[in-house]
Amino acid sequence: MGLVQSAYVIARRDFTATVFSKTFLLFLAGPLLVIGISILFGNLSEQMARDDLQSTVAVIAPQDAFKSLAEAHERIGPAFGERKLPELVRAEPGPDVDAQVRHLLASGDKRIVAVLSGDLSTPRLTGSINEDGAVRRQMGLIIEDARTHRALARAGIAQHPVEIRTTKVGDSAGSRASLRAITARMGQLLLFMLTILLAGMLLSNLIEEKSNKIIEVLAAALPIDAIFLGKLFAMLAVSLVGVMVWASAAFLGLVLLPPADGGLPAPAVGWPLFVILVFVYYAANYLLLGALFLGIGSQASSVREVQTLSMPVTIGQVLIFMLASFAVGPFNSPIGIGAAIFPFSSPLAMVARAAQTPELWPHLAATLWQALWVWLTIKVSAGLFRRNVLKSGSPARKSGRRKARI
Amino acid sequence: MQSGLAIEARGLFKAFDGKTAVDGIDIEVPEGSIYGILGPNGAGKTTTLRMLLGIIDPDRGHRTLLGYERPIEAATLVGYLPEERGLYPNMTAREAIAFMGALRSLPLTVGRERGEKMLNANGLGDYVNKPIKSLSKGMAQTVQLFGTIVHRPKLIVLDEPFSGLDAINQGRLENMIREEAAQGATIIFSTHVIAHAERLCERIAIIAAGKLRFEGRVADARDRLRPQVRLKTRAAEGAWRASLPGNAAQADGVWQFELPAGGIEPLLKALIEGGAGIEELSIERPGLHDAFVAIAGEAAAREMQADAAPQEKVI
Repeated sequence: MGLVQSAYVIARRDFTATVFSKTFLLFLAGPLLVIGISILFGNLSEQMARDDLQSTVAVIAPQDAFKSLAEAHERIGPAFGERKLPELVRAEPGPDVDAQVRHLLASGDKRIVAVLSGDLSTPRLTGSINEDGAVRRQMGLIIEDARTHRALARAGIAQHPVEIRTTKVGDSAGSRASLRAITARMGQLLLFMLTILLAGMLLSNLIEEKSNKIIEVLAAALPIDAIFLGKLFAMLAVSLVGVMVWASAAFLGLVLLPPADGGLPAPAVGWPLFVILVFVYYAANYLLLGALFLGIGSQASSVREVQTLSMPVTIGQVLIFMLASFAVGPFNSPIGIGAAIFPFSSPLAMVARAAQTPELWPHLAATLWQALWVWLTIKVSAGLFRRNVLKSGSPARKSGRRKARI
Repeated sequence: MQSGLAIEARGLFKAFDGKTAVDGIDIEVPEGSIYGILGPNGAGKTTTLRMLLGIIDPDRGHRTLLGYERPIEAATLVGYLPEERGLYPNMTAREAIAFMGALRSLPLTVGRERGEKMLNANGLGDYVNKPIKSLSKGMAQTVQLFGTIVHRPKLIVLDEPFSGLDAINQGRLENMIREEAAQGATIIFSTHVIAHAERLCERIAIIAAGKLRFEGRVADARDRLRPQVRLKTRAAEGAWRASLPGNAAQADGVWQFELPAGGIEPLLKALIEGGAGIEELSIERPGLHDAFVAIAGEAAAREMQADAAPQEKVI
């Protein structure tokens, strides 16, 4: 059998055994669950964080004075967006204002951070706030607006909100660059996460075969290189099934719940080519790392050994991810070019490049460069495997280990 | 390759981490023969088989397998049962056989068909679609054996095929080996049970401590020792005593000695004329075990016996 045919026999077995297993359903559902839970908890925690950050200022003032402040609050509030102004609550002025202030600040069931007393001309803010902090400044704005409105109303001057003529353009160079950086980072993250996930699966698969002693049956029948290629490409195919399922789920999600801001910004090379390049670089990244993990797996004889050996590789991979993340933004800087040339960070760096610049020739060069390194890594890993995985049969028995029946 | 040889190996040498595992093995396995590699555990049998199959390369020496210098090129013509059995636990028995055939170029559909037939013919019809993990160890071993031969190989290599099998299945396996040989396949197997080799093999190699101690026909190994004569006489003393060789030893009234070079007739004549009064006389040809002891040494033979014996708890 030729190399390709031999690799196909292995790949077919590994692919069917993985895809038609119960654990594959978990594998498919895993990321969806993680994303779903992240979104849910993200929203919840965001809401909780907002609630936690929302402060309340008690205002000791008569109804009409408070009304001016409340109206000013309403006018200014929208300009702060999601970072809300402090909530205002009124307290009827009592005979001892100082005691009332202390009482309000001590009340634990309200989120009162400060108490405003006095009138609009001589306001006094008491609370656990900074002299130059946000609450102090925001309350200053509210009071100033209330005073201005009251003065203008007394002078009989009508007030109209300023009308600004707004012209919206599609994008600007600055906004485009920063938005594409988001696409670049998302692309890198997707590649990194998928690769780590799949390389881990590949490793467990090899360890299982070693512990089941199947590897010798395979090694006797097929060239080691074919076994490696078969395993690598089987898991690549498995991952593509996963990606298709996840992409379909994401598409469905986008159709059912379209994002308000139009979703991710379009990459520089355009979506169709970007998707193709993500696939190509994912394959290269996965094959590079997968081959490395297979080489490591062949040295180990137990899961514990694999964990010990693969830890430095995983740490290295995280460092490489960090290196590649420098290519987002200054992709033509020395470090950006270095990340694109270093074989193990090249796929991640090039994905970022595809999101940020429309040049195509660097992708052709990078693909060839990465293919060369994939080939080299597989060769080296297969050599390691051949040298170390099958050493001997039963070890010689030490004399006297067996004893006669007595 | 010398014509008519399925396997030819010269001077195979292999060391692991500086420790010699196999040192200068020469083997010739004629086509269509049943060939045994004998030796205690750790002697280098598995390493030798792995080198012959190309799973590992020798550090020195060369080998040809069915005429191919690179054994992997003959892979589709070879069936191999490793010492450490291995099957995918979730595969069904039929799929496991078909997959092992597919590894040797047999189409899956043909492998499934043949696998089912083999299982049915051997009383395992109920387990065709059962996963390997639900089978007993012996059944799983049988399934792997079927997987080894499903593609009808010209050369079948079995590493310790009898280990782990009960007496009935050992007998079945012996029959299967004979049947495959009768159909023209060459069979080479390793074992540390001399009786299997003695019953099955035409030729053997005896390996101890990585070195080849003997390679050739079983008959030639046995012929290295003279036949043993056992003699019981009515007379305790007499002129006949002079006819016994110098190494004759007596135990429980029975004399035992090697058959003299002149043969049995002159001895018989001398005994009769010397008034020995022969009660019993037998000539026993040495067995392979005796030959093994003479060739590999008493220590290796003891190890072989210990390897073949069931494990006992140390009390």
